[in-house]
Amino acid sequence: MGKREGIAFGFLVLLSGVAGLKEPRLFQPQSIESVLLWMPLITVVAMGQLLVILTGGIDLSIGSILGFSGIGVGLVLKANPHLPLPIVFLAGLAIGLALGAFNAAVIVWGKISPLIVTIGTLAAFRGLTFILSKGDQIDSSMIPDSLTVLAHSGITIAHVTLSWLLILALTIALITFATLGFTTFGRNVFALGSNADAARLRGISSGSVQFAVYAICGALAGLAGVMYASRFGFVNPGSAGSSFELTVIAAVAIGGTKLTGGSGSVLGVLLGCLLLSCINVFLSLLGIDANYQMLTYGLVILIAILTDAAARRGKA
Amino acid sequence: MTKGLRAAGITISFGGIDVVAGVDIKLRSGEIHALVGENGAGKSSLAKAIAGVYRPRLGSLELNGVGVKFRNPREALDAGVALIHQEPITFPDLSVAENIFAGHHLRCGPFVRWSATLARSRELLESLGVALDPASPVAGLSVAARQQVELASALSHDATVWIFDETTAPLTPKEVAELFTVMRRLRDQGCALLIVTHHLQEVFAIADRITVLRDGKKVAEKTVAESNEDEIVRLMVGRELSLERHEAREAGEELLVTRGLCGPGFRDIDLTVRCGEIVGLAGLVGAGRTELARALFGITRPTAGRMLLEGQEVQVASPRTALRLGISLVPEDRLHEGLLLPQSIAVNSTLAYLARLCNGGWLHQKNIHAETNKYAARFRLACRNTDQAVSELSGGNQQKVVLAKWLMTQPKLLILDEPTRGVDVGAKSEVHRIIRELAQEGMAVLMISSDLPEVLHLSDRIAVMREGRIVAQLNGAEATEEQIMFAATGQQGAALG
Repeated sequence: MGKREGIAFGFLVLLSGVAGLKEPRLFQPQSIESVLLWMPLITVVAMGQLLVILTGGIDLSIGSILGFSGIGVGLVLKANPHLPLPIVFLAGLAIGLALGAFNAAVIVWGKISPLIVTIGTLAAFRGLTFILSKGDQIDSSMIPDSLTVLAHSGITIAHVTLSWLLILALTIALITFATLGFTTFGRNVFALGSNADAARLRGISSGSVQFAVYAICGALAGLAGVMYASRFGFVNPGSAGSSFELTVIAAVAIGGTKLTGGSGSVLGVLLGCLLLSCINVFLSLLGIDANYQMLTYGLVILIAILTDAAARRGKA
Repeated sequence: MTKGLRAAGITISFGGIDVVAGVDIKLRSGEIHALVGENGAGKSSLAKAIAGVYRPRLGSLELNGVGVKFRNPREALDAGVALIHQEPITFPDLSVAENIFAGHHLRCGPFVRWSATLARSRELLESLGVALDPASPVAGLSVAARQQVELASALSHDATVWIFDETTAPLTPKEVAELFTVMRRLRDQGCALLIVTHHLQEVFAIADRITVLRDGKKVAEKTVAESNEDEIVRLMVGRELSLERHEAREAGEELLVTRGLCGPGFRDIDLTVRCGEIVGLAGLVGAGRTELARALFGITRPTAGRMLLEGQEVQVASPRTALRLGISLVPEDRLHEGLLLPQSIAVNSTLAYLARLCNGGWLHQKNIHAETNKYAARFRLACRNTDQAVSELSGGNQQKVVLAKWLMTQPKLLILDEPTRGVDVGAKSEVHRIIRELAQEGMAVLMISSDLPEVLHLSDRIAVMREGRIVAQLNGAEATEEQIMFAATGQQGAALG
């Protein structure tokens, strides 16, 4: 574990310790399970965002891709309630891939800043979601139980159930870890973000690396759309994934990823996701007034990022 | 002889101007070839064209007797032609080993063979005689160490032709000696080396053959054995003094005096500029001239020494203070530091003077245009009108706009950094006329220029800088190009000044 991950980990321990002292119920299996309920969605999307941020880019449209995929898959399930689950997940992945590839095409071929492109598609994809759904929510009646059960059942270890969704998310994290650390594609992602000029001199095609990361990021957000339907049992065209991009970027940043690219790790981002999930659960468990929860959440993110920045400046 | 690289009739143009014109050069394997010339003679451009960075407009390359064309540096590298940069281009976040192999990782299918990468990196670094840990990160390494990483990377491509573009400039003498050891080793292994430099001692210490460029043309090719430093300096400069010498002017009061001024990139500067006087600041690129100018204008802070303006000791804390004190700087890089390209001539030229053309905080378009028109007429600015975007103007006219901007602030001391770089001949003489007129009117002018005829033509006095110090102060009317070059390169002749 490097210095970057260390800070996120330290924060996690500190926060759990403080919260645990005030409320011992925190360490009961139910609380841990509710923390773990938050993890899968944010982890899957954060892995895609990590790839994008490592190249020095950003994708703000992931929340809208999640929403579009959730509605799209919901409509497919409404028409074919007995579709095999692997097909359902693949459908989400494919929808996300298509939207991500659209982002990638505009960014790479149009040579436009990813920030601007994905602000545009953030709105455009959400708009498509409303058109596709005709404004109607996908209700629990349209989502088969075989899908929703994945969020709650899984492998139980010492009274704590690791849901199938969590296992899926961790598998994706593992694949991301292997890709980034051990494949030439992964290393090109780091190289591009570390110094784009040097990458060009070494013959690394920035266009194809960029295309791939936005397409993958979209695909993972699409997959998260299916996971959303599984976890919540409904998909609202307006709220599904809305402002989720901010949570995900915060998780990536808290995990010690350099926002200008070139440096970051899967382990760090996983800790960032865990930290944000914990905050969400602790805030309600500790009985913090609902009106103060959002502010507290924001402050914890700010403090974590400031600590990381201070540590980085100290190192330089 | 077919081993090595042969470039024939290389012509490189930027914006319609040939910076290198019809140059032939042959890099033989087992030989170190030095490419020398004054600043702007086209040495770096030629080197970069050979390495695939620039595409020559005319000419051909032959590698080991076979015609080649490089569309980018990677193609050159794959063919075995490596360019080593003065400021190494590396990936700061990645390890030494990965910097060596980025772009051509040792792989097995899609997977990187990390242990082989580390082992091979260690071998490459050892064969260069370099003590670097391949697993350590590149961020935080010295320039010399990062150059070594670039060398190892070139070695991993089995480079047979090595081009060193001013690589010794940022190195300490000890690091230079280490680099030379590596160069000799490469030569002895049968590589062809080209070193681009303006340090003649280095040329005579390491090279076997010398090609001299002047104004983009090859003027001589000599073996080191049959030449000497004096001859090379004369060949580098060697043009007829076609420009008439300037007419003497009455110098007035001392306006700027510095005593023992030290700062980032310069040391112990004792310099005086009088009213109505043009002082030329000559020296090689990297001698500390621009750094001195930036400190005088308050962009950086001097670390020691005194600066007096009209006899009063001053501290120039920021460019804002400098402007208030009557100091203006026309920067070297006008595109990045001098102009807002998409904006109009009027906007650009009144930028530094805007406060005084305003009416209670509101822009006063009539004043702005009147003031701009005054300078446009005086400078014979070639434009449709003052609302034309600066990006549409030629280099010379852009430079006039920058000049107008700073002159509107009515400075007492005008610092010019390479005022005619990239400007065509006609505009150049216009700019010279303006500078002379300003001095005539009593302005003190400090002019940095790498263009020796320009320095001799305009300056009343010439200060020559080398390695951050002023090494010679010459009388403008009597100095010669050779004297300046001797002082700037640290040759024996400097004593003459």
